[in-house]
Amino acid sequence: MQARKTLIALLVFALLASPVAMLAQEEGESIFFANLSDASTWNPILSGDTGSSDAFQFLYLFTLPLDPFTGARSPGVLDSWEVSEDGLTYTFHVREDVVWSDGEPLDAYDVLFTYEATVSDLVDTPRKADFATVVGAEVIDDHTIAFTFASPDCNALDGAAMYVVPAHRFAPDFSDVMTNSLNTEPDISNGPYLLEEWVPDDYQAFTANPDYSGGQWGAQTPANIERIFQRIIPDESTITQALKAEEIDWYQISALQWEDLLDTPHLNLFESEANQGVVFTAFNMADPAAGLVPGLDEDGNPLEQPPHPVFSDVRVRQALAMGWNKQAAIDAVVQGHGQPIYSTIAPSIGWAYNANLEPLPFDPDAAAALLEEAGWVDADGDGVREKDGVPLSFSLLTNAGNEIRESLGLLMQDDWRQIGVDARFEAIEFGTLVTERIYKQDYDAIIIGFTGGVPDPDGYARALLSVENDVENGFNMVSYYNPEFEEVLDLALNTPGCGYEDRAEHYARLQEIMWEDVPYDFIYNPFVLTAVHERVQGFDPDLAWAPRSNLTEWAITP
Amino acid sequence: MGKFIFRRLLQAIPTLFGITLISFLLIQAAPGDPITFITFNPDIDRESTEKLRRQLGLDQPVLVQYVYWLIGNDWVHIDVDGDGEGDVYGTRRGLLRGDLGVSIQHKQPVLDLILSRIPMTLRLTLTALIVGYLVGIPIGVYSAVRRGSGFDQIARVLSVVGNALPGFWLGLIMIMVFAVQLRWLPTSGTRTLGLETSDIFDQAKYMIMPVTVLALGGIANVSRFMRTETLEVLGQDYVRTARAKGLTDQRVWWGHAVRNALIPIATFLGPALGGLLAGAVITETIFAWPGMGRLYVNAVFQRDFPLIMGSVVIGAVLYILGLILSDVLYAVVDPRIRLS
Repeated sequence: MQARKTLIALLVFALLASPVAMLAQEEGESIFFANLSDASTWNPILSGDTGSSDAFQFLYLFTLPLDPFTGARSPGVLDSWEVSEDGLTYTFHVREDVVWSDGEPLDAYDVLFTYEATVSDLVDTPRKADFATVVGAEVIDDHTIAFTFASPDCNALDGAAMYVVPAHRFAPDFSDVMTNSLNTEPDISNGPYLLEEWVPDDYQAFTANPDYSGGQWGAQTPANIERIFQRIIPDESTITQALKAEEIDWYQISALQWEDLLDTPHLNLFESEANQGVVFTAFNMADPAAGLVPGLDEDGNPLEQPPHPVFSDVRVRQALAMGWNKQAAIDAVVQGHGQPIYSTIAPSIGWAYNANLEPLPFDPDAAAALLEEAGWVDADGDGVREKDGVPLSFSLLTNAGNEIRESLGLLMQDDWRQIGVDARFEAIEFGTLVTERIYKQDYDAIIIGFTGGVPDPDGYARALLSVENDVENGFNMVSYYNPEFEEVLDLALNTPGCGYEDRAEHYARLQEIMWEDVPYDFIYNPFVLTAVHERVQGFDPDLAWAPRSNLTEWAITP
Repeated sequence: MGKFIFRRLLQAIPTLFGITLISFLLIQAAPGDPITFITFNPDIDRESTEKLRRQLGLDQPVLVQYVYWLIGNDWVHIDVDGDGEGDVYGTRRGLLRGDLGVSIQHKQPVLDLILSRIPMTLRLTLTALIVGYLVGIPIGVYSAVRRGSGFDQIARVLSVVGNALPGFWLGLIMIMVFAVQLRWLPTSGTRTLGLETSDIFDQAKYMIMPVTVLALGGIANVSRFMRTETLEVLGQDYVRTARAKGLTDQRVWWGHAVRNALIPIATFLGPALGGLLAGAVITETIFAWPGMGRLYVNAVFQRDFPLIMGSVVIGAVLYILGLILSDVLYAVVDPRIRLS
């Protein structure tokens, strides 16, 4: 009896639900976005996660936003600047027409407060690193602020890049930065939208800000589209289905989703190379058995590294790079939505990329020859080469759950076996991989990658290869040291005038060094893929480095 | 009864402390700390990382950190810049003064985060529990009284299948069929966005799929258990007596047999109630349901120590209460049992 009633009730539910579902979305007024993770905080001073920064773009203007065409820093809230003769002090002009939604004008004191609050001892935030190069800041007048940097390098502007917070809503002594109500209920905005409602881990709802002063791009004010709903859907497969079910209008998809959405009639798919991300295999050139030896001693002199039995020989690293088929892997694993690379600098950073070089070709015969030249031969005929009784065998790790890297690892392992190399592949939990393996340099080889950040050739190259970062918790995880590399890296960052052409010369040489030394086996640079519902008008795939920078001009066709 | 409950509650206090200490040590023994994850980024320099670690007290020995967590650190002068001199005072008051701390990832009080997830979590898990019992009990009883019939065979096969089907697979298949192909139901979420008001029918249709996926295991377990218990009871003397008196089958089954068969089921209920607030991470993830499971599991992946410990405390308290409740229920449904 009971069972029958319950079943009937469920059936009635299903029937009731069906006609309602079709009316799910009010047409024309709203756009639906999705994100895998929610904002953890609404205070730009405190956030360290992509979920937050992704949501900030609707509420806050950036001081020096990325140029959507080139990815370079460009005028925003700080709309012009002068550089002192020594190159250390930048005097910025603050836009005068920006008004907070409560009527207060945005001024230089807001910028100063944002910087000072971030570096305050009372505030714990990973954002402190943004201002690591700043020595001090000073307000000259209401709309002028000067930043002094530690060194006059070509990336100095990064030190003044921030989302500005409304100083008049905080205690001037920074005592409430950690607990201010704006952290969870931001009722103020200087951007294109206002936050209307936030249900954590469910959705964010925004309405157009009627007092928006306009941005560098997307000058339309107020925004055409009245409301934004950003849904938090933590599972990529569900997002795929939500795109198919016309619940989501715009989403940057992964290569694994592309195939699945290709034949969906109401979706347009776009591919862009505007991403400086790199995926690579790190070859540890220092013997992990000897413990971590930092790259420099206390006086800054290079320290001898205990050589890794396999990877300390450049011929072995070259052989491994040539010994597996990268292009086939890119085609198979990410359906060709990426391009092969040979250094930290991807072709997407066009001005710095050295197009005269090509990634090492897939050539198992040449790879075998190199291994033999290095003394690795299979004398006992067990299929694995050895040298002085030591087999050519090492562990190859990646982070579990990353399907792309797991597939790459298996393909690598298979191809290498053909040339007598035994890679023991294993995927382990991300936290363990980072803290126990990478940060302690306790591993043989690891497949890992970087993504995001300001597109500049210095960032990844310095982090991954400069000797100063060969320390515990540093990113030079392979213990690479090449004096010429260090010299060219610094020359490129401190080029007088910072002209692209002048810097590019140094970066061209830097890429040659990486090509020759193979400190990492650089694999590919992923493309940015976007799925857009056909009802969305105004999305411009050419604004690739900041794809929603003209959002206020978008419209929805009913 | 009151005395019994009071004694059990007193006994729970050392248990609770044991749980928190062991959990704290276990979490700390896991590789990585919260800073690892927010700083795995080439743009973040080591000096800032170390500063953050000192501010959060993560540079302190484990037992010191546990003491801070218990009694707070507002009496500690924290050395932020690492020069050996204290710069600012801590702000935490500790568990014993009613402060579960502040989440490192969310920068919000742990208690607020957990409380904010409770309504939606209960909406999902409590509904699934009720459906599990309401559907599972009659199926089990009917299978028992019609032992060997077609209904019984099908119910038994389905209960094995229901237990074996992975939730993420079933969830995804249901989404593909009911949300994408048929467009009867929304893929995920909790309510239709953009409507002026979202009424109970609107919200109910967002619950159908996740509740079904979640209740399936419950239905399978409860029905199987109920079948076994009912079979045992049906063979007993008093049931034969009832039949001999000429009672109808319906009266015998539902009035006499089921009551006794329900006794062991009651013992299930206590721990199940304790588990309600644990959420259901896989179902919540697939259906984008803003529940407790996602909050906890994210906290573990991000090594958000205060949030993990807050969850442990709440979970432990509920579990202990659940066990006490199940003992009480036992005495209520079975007059032969006395609490002492």
